[in-house]
Amino acid sequence: MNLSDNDQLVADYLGRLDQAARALPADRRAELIEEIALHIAEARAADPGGLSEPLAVRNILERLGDPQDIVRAAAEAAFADAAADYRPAGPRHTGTGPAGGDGRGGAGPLEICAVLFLLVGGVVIPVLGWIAGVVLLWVSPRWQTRDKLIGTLVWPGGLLAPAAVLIAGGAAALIPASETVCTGGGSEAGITTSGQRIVHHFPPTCTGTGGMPAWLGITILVILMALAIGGPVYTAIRLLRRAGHAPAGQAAGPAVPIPA
Amino acid sequence: MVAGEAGNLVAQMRRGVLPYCVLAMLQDKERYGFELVQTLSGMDGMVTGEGTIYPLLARLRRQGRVETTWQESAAGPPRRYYRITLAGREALAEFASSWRRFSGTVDDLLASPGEGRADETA
Repeated sequence: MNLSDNDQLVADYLGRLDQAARALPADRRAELIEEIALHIAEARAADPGGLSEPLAVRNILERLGDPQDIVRAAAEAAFADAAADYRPAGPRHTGTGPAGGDGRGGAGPLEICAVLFLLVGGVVIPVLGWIAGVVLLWVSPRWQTRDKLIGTLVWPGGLLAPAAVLIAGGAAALIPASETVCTGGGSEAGITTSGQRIVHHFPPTCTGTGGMPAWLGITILVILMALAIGGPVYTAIRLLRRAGHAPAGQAAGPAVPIPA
Repeated sequence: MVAGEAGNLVAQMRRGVLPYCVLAMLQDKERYGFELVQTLSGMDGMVTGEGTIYPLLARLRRQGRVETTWQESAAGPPRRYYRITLAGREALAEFASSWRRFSGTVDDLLASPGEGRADETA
């Protein structure tokens, strides 16, 4: 037998493995096939007859075992991962991947404090209160990085901004806004040096708060306020709902594996 | 016990214990996948098919109990090196104490002469 026949043996084996692995999630399947292929390559490189001896190649494949058994082991691992992540008590939401699992645990005291500080901390203690919320947010292991980023960026200051605007707006409401105030103007009668009677008309000087009509200004203000309040509130609800994941890949496996 | 039954039992026990054996092998140094598989398959009763170890390794990685790095190898394809993490060490320590307690209990039961054996004739 020559080289290509041995390669054919390997290709057949990997083909059977690929076929059997169709049942697995795509990423696990791809990884498994890659690792088995690398194993075969490594084994052939280590064995003096591995490249050319058909018997050596057959032995390598024999020791690897039946592709069905390998896929079964991978499926058991996937099942065990999912079972390990499952906790009946927490809020459920769509999983984030094979190892993500459903929501578990929910928001604990740390998470609730984080959300409270983020939302209103900035109002109670301007700026510092909100920063305390950010610290708690990032310290918690129960949010994924993406959620933490949203929590930080969607509401810098939390409700501080709309609260400040409300207070400023309340004060400003006492003063009529977007009104044109005109002073001066009128006409003045005078006599020129040649004795003619002239009337000067002075246009009134008007100052106005821009050329914006009142209704438009108020509408824009209402929209901005809705966003400034809605954003932090939405993010607060989202964070509370999504609490409960330790990010995939970090600790928290069962102490004793589940025998399949 | 029928031979097949005992074999089945051993297979089940092995499945539960094997991840911790891998962690134990990684305690002192990092090793690459092929190396781990070769060592395990050399141990009596440890492995059925060598290929079934790879899903196990992948699971350890997903649990955060090992970290992997790819390194170029002079002699062949790139190698995936496995290194135990702090979480892995903790899990291993917990398993070790559980195992000692459990296997000690079973050993005691196996060693003690049975009381009131049914086939004893007075």
